Amino acid sequence: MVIPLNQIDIGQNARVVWIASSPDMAARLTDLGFTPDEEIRCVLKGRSGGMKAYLVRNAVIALREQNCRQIFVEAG
Amino acid sequence: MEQKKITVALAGNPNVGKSTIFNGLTGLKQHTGNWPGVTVAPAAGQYQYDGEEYLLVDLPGTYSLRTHSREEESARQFLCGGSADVVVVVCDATCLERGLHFLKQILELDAVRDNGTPLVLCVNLCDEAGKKGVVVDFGLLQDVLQFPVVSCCARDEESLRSLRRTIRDAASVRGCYDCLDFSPKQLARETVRYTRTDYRAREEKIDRIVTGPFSGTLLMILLLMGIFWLTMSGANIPSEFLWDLFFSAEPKLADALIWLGVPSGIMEALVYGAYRVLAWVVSVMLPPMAIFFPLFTLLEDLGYLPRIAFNMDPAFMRCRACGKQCLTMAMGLGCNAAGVIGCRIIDSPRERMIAILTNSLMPCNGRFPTLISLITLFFLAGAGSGAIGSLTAALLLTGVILCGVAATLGCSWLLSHTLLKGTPSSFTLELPPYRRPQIGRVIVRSVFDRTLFVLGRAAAVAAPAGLLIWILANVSAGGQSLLMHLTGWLDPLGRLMGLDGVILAAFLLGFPANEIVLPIILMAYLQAGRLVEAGSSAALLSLLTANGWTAKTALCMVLFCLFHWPCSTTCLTIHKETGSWRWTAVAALLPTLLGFLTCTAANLVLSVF
Repeated sequence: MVIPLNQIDIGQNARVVWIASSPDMAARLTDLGFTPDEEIRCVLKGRSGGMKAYLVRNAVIALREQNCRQIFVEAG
Repeated sequence: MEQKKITVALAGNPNVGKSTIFNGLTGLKQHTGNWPGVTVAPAAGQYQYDGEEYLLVDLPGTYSLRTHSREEESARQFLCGGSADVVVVVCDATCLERGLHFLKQILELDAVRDNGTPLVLCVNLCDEAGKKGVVVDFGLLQDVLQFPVVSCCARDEESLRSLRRTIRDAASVRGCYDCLDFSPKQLARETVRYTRTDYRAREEKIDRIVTGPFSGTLLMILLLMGIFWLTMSGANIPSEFLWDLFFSAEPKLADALIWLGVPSGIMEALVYGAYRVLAWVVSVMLPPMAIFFPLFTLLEDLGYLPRIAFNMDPAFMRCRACGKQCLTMAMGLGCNAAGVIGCRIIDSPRERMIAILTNSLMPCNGRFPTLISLITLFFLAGAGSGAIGSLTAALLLTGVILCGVAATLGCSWLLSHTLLKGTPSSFTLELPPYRRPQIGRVIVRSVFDRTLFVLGRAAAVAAPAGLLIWILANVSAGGQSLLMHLTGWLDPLGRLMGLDGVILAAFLLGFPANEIVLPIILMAYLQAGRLVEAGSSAALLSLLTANGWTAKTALCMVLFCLFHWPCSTTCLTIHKETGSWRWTAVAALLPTLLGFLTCTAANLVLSVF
């Protein structure tokens, strides 16, 4: 089932399906490894509404909640 | 004929240690730290190897060459300009795949392809990878890529030697990348083996504490307090020692000048004006900075700063600003001018402007001595001088800093709802792995690079400022010195703000460097026409109270010290970064207005009671 990235819990893996961000942000996310078929994992959730961090290509990248909602993944 | 230099570019992702390699090869001291975006402008340095001259260019770290941030643009332009004879692509052994993606983008540049620019892949941080059980198959990597691959630990002399040798060998060979095609993902999968699956577990556990809703905030405040406490309690003794040393040298200096035949008027201006202010600034500033900077650098190298940004982002988001502003504020604690330059890490122009305009609301190191003196003199009378006293002082100073943070957030909110309207933009924040700082190197680097640099700047300003103050205090018109005219004229405004004319005049004269504000105040009160030795803090306190100071005056001065115009260096830096005098004026007026309002409000409210 395809869900937005912010619904992935800590420690859960996911596979990126598509990115619905604005072109600039989508390009930046692509550079970091948020590309279709890439395996990522949620490693950190701050306070509610705060940033969330994901392990992607072996680096930890933090994103704002609103940006997480624009990334759609398949929970693994 | 001058030999042609071989230009070598260092390119790669942020925070892979390019600047550490740069420093290692050139012996220069480019600022490094464990967070992405420390290098914001290309730096160049030279080194010699085997009879050849090399010009090394340290490009800002970028995630790609496609998207359009300022750093990416400058990195791309340099690589496309064809001025690089060799490009060294630096990547992190623990994040090889991302480095290979970047390498592939460089290979796709027409300039690199057509010129056959020689490439070297430098896999850095191999020591760290080893500890984490990450094994890289360098033989296979080189077989696929068909150009030199070096494994490197930038802190290790042996790997720097092999890098120099590889660069020399590569410089003479034209690269041919027409038949080179690889998938970064697959190549990384084939060459990297993870022998320990649990290596991230410990880091994640630490991160959950460091970024926890409650524990994260507590840790942040405790760390801030701890640093201030160490700085304040540690700086006392060396400060007194330096003080005695400088003032015992003073009569000797005066005698020497007279013996050299310098007229007594000029001698007095030089010794009691320039030398005294200089001695004051050095003895008051050097010890706290020599403690504060290494501690701060330690946190920076450890990788803690991005975690603060992570914790604080919700607050900045509500103010429609960027969470990375936190990093620039932390740099502002050291020096506001450095903080303003650091704002380049913020991609959105609107949010970058907000960060630049509000940076001076964080008190820089030049203002700490004033804040510390006021707190210890006026608010710690009953607390004693022992551990409790210094802890309370650290607590109060932390409170002052938190006031600065609150004001930064408030002003950011105000700006993004008035002058700089807009919605919060998207951004990504990399949380680098924690790295064990090399304590010896941290101390050497922060003392020599930062402390002496900031001190040198302060001293360069303090000596001429001291001379100017001496002239103002000693040249009289209409029976009063010029300094008295100035303070008398400013007095009504000062009184309204809970200060007096002298304090305001001191802040105005302290425009070149905030460190000299307190010395100017003392000089004006004593009307001695020269800075006086404030022998003990009790004498200092009685002098101030004799001139009408109360706890209210001290509080208002703390507020005004926190919120007033940025120093001259910062103003010039703001102009350089924004390219506009109008924004520079906003950056100066905003904190001044805030200071005026808070001081007046505090004065009025406290006068009622």
